[in-house]
Amino acid sequence: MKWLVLALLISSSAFADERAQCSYLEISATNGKSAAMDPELQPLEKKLKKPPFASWNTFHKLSGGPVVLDKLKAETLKLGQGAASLLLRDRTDTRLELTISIDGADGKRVLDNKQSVAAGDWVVWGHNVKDDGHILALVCK
Amino acid sequence: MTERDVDLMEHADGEAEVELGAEGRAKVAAVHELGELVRGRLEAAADDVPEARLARMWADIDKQLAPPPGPRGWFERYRGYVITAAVSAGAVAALALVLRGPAPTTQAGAALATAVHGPSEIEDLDTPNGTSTVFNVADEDGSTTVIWVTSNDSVGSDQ
Repeated sequence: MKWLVLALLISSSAFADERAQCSYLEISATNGKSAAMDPELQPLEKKLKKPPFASWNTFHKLSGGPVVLDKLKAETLKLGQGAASLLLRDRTDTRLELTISIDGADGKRVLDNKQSVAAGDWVVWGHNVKDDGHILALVCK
Repeated sequence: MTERDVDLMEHADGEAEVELGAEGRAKVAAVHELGELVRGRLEAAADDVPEARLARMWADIDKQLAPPPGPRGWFERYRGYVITAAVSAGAVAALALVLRGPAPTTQAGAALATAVHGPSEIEDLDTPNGTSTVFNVADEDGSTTVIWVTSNDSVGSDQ
């Protein structure tokens, strides 16, 4: 019986190494008469008050939610302004190797990025849209 | 008057009162004497049985009448049920481990608040329509890597 439980635990752990549980937030950054921030952005509140985000005082969530990344299987996020592609290339218990591509609302490629990130740490990408900012934040574990 | 033997035996046992003649009294006396002999013989036979043997007999009888007292006795009696329950619980726990799947996330970032902080490593970065700047935004929650892209169009419009 002990061997059976051990085998199940090992297989469960191996299964977990093949995917990542992620959450993303798409944010618009603008300047308004008074500062405002959607409550859903609370996990990033402190960061959004620092450069380069300090140029704006109003932050709204455009989209967001959980996304599961299976290893070497690209996931497309349809954003409120454009789209993003996420790929989990590899992972350990503490780090994840990600590839991300972001396209703007006009369909033009904004960036291609390969990054090794710590599990549980937010990673943020952003770009200017005229005077406003468009931000994508991702955290995976 | 001639007494019947049945009446005499009932009289000897105290179950009926019969007027006895000489012959009847003799028979009743004989029945009493015979009874005394039988009781005496049985008592003697019982005395011949060793005490230890009697104790063993009673112990055997007790075992057949009631289960052994205490938790060990309970376990002995219900051992089959206990083992079955333990095996079933183990199997259910193992299945739960396999089938539990990912924890649901109701709000972005809510379930992922605890972080193992460490610097990100940017292995490759390409911004075909702009220039990029990498920031390290630090706060109480640790440092966050921010890649900011300034598009060539916006640079052009500023100029």
